[in-house]
Order: sequence, then C-alpha cells, then structure tokens
Amino acid sequence: MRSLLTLPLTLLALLACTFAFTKIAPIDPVLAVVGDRASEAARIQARKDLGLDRPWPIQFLWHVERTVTGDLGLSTSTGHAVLDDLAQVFPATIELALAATLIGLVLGLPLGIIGAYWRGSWPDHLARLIALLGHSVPVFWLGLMALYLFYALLGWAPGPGRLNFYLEGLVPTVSGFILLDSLLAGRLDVAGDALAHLVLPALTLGLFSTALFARTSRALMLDALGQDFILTARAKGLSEWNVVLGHALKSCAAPMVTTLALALGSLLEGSVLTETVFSWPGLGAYMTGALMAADMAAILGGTLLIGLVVSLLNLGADFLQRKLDPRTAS
Amino acid sequence: MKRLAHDPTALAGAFLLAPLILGALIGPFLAETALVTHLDARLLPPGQGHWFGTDALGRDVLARTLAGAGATLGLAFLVAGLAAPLGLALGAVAGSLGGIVETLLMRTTDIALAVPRLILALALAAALGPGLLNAALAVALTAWPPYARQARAETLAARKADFIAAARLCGASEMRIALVHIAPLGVSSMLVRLSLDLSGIVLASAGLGFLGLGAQPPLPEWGAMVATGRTHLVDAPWVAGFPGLAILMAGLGFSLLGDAIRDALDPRNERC
Repeated sequence: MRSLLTLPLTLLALLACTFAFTKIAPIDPVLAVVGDRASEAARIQARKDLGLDRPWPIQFLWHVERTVTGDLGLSTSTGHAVLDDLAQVFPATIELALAATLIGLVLGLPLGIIGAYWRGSWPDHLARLIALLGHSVPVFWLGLMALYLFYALLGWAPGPGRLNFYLEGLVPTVSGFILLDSLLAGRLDVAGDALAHLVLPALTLGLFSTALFARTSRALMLDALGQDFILTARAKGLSEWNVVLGHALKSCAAPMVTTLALALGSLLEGSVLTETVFSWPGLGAYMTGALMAADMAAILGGTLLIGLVVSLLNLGADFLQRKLDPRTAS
Repeated sequence: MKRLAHDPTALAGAFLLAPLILGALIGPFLAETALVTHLDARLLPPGQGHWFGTDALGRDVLARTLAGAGATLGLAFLVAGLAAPLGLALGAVAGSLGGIVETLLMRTTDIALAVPRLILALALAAALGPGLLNAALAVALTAWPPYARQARAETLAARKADFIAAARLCGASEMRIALVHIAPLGVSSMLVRLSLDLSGIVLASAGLGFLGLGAQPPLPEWGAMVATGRTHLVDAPWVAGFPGLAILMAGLGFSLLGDAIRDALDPRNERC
C-alpha cells in the first residue's frame, strides 16, 4: 500500500527536479521563441504567452499538467515532439537492456549458485572477480575496447549501429524491436544481422548485470544453504539437485525479483553510455545527442521516462515479492 | 590499521592506486607537456620517447594521463566531501529531531533513492552547463541519500543516550545536539560507506566526462580523453585505451581498498 503511495510522490519529485532544471539552465526560453532581434514588445508578449510572467508555483502546476497530458515539448535538435521521439527510440533501449539482463541471468545466476555451493572453488573466485570488475570497469571504455578487439582487429563482430546500412528500412516497423519486426516480416537475414549487432553492446552492458546477479545469488544462496529446512530436506534423503535447486534456490526467488528490477533499472541508466559508444539508436544516444545540442526538452523528457520506468519496476518488484514471499506481506 | 597493512586485498588496492596518486602529485609539473601540441608527431604508437603514444594533436598520452589523475581523483574526492557530510548532517538532524522533520526528510531521501542517479546527474549537469565543478555538484547532489539513511539509523540508537540528555540539560539546542553531539558518532560508518562508494563516484564522474560534461578540452581528464580517442579507435587505440585503463585502475583500486577497510573496521561484515 505504502509503495503505491510512493509512486506518485516519486514522480512528483521527479517533475519538481526537471522543473528546477529548466529554471537553472542557462537557456532563455523567450529568446528561443522570438530570436535575438525581436522588439521589446514582442519579447514581453512571448513571455506572457509562455506563462513566464506568472509565479513559479503556477508555472510548476502547468508543467505538471503538460507532462501528465503527454506534452513534453518540442525537441530543438530533431524538430519533433519529444514524446514521439521517445516512442521511436525507446524500443531499441529496451531491446538492449533485456538482452543484457538475459546475459546476466544466464551467466550470473549459475556462477553465484556454484560459488555458494562450492565455496573457494574456481567458479567461486571467478564469480568474485566478475563481481569486482562489474562495478569497477568504466562501461564506455570496455565497449570501445571490445569494438577495437572484436570488430577492428579480429573482425568477428559487426561494427557499431543496430543494422548494416544496406539492410536498414527493409522491414516495416511494427513493434520497434528490430529482431521481432524482422521475424514477423519473415526476413531471417535481417534478424540475423540485428542479432549479430546486438551481441557486443549486450555483452558489454551484460558484465554489469552478470556481476550483480552473481553477487546477489551467491549471498542469498549462502544464507539459504545454512538454514534448517535444507538440513530437513537432506535428512529426508532428497537428491542434492533437488535440495539446491528445488529448495534453496526457490527460497531465494523473492529477493531475486528485487534484484531483477534493480538490474533492469540500472541497465536503462547504463545504456546511456553504452549506446553512445556503439551508436545504438536508443534513448541513451538520443539523450547524449540532445546534450550536445543543449536540447533541454529532450533531456528532461528522457529523464522523466527513465524515472517513470524505474519507479514502475520498483513497484512491480515490491508487488511480486509480496506474492512470492508471504512473510513480507504485512 | 595494522590488519589493513597485512590484508592482501588492501595491498592490491593500494598497489593499483599508487601510480595514480603519484600521477596526481607530479601532474601539475606535467601540465604544460600535457597541453603542448606537436602536429608533426600525430598518433604515434607507443614506443621510444612516447611510452603511451601520442594523440591526434601529437600530445603525449602518458603525460596527459598522469596530468589527468588530479582532475579525476580531485573530482571524486570533491564529490565525496560534498555528498557524505551532507547526508550525515541530514540523517543526524532527522534522527535526533524526530517528528515531522524526520518524516519529511526521510520521505525525501526515499524518493531521492528511487530516482536513477546517473540520469539525474546527467540532466543536472546539462542544466548547470559543462565544467568540473558543476559535474561534481551534479554527482554529489545525487549521491547523498544512502548516507542520510545510514546516519539516521545510527542516530536513532544514540538519541536516548545519557550524554545527549546531559547536553540537553546544559541547554544545548536540538540543532546543536544533532550536529555537534550526534553527527560525529556516524563519521566512522560514513567513512566505511564512502570507501565502498568511491569507485562508483569515480566511474560516474568519468562517465560525465566522457559525455563532455566534465572538464573541458584541452584540459586532460580521463573520461574526456577516452571520448576524444573514439574517433581514432581503429588506427590509434592507445589514445582511448590508456586513460580508460587509468579509470579501471582507480575503480578497482578503490573497490579493493573499500572492501578491505570495511572488513577491518566492521567485524560484523566478515568476508566469506
């Protein structure tokens, strides 16, 4: 219940932040509308039209109202409504974040489980090394070095971007997810190319999620394996497989959901840097492009979108955790 | 301290950080070398004369990497020095005053924790305009909430203590009790948390630098140097490679040292 209340409050705080940012930004909205050669009267008129002559609280309410109705303003760098831009670029980011999460689950979870079961073994050391690297490596540098090694030097991976240029525009946009769209259109060649382009950025971003999952699942499993119900399960004569995967892992499910939400949220953030490196046409690249053009509407729109998604993820994780673990429901 | 000196994790961390700290110390003497351009010596590969090669303007990458240590490490310590005490003070005030102030401050902290950090720092840095100080401010203003939460939890345990009652009897104001008597109690755990946080702060600052929001060219800063090296990645990977390696060393070094400091100061968190 409490988290349901937190969501609108968080969003309101986020709106307050973005509103404050527009106020401190050294960009004059009036000048942007009328240009620097307008007469004094035109400037005053523009100020009035934009509502800038009203008190701040009123302006803030308008800001909230506009945002809620989906009016995020016009992007000065693309010339489109920010909301349309976001709808166009966001699927690419989701694609990348989901792929990275998948890599994290597939690699990190087993590493953590094995590390907890055979403490001090080489998979355990590997898991700890990855966990250490995962939060110490600058992701933008890792991406560049991966591009150099696997694209420039070895030629194993395609270059930056989401598709080879000669394949672009061949499949109609249905969902915005190129993999899905090309499969729907029956173009396996396009799907294969899209998948090949996805590998390097997803692996780069995936190091972080692998580290997170390995660290969390190791700690949770260590805790679970020492509990009494594991002793009971062993005493009943269950197989080790069943004890570890059926009992211990199952008891970790609820906190793992929170980790999953956390990972997805952080990956959305991490995508800003990764996308810039790989010229991945997603939200991150859009926001950095806007940054270069001092396009505040686009930056704040992106910030709001990520904030909204992260808040929703937290809420969903809270809800799921309560469903999975009755002890946390009070 | 003695335990720390014998901990292999701490030693590894110190070993990684030593060249960077050395760089920060001798960096000012290299400042001129780091800026001088030699257009006849562009993009030279690492070798005699230029151990790390030269960049697109013929500047020595080694000199620039060493000179950049000051900017990046200084930025990280500036952020740490701003965010941690701010969080500590807010947490201590919230915890010792209680009531509506506490509810208000802690709700704000919860909300600030729920907002994605890097994105908010990015938007704030964009609004403030690029520059080292603004980047520090942006990262700091998004980094304080965990400190506030921790400080409040510690304060709650302390506010019933006898010496607080004694201070109150002496006529100390609630604000004075919070900041002068209670806040110092949280300093040690703040430092532990900070040592664990430093690698993240270094990475966030370098990330902002990479996006062009930190130090402005031609000043050497590691994140910005990686960004400029991007253009010549295929024919001159050393331009982006070495400054990035320095960020990695800083990140790893602070992580290892932070782990070791936590283990040494906080026996509850025994490493397993």
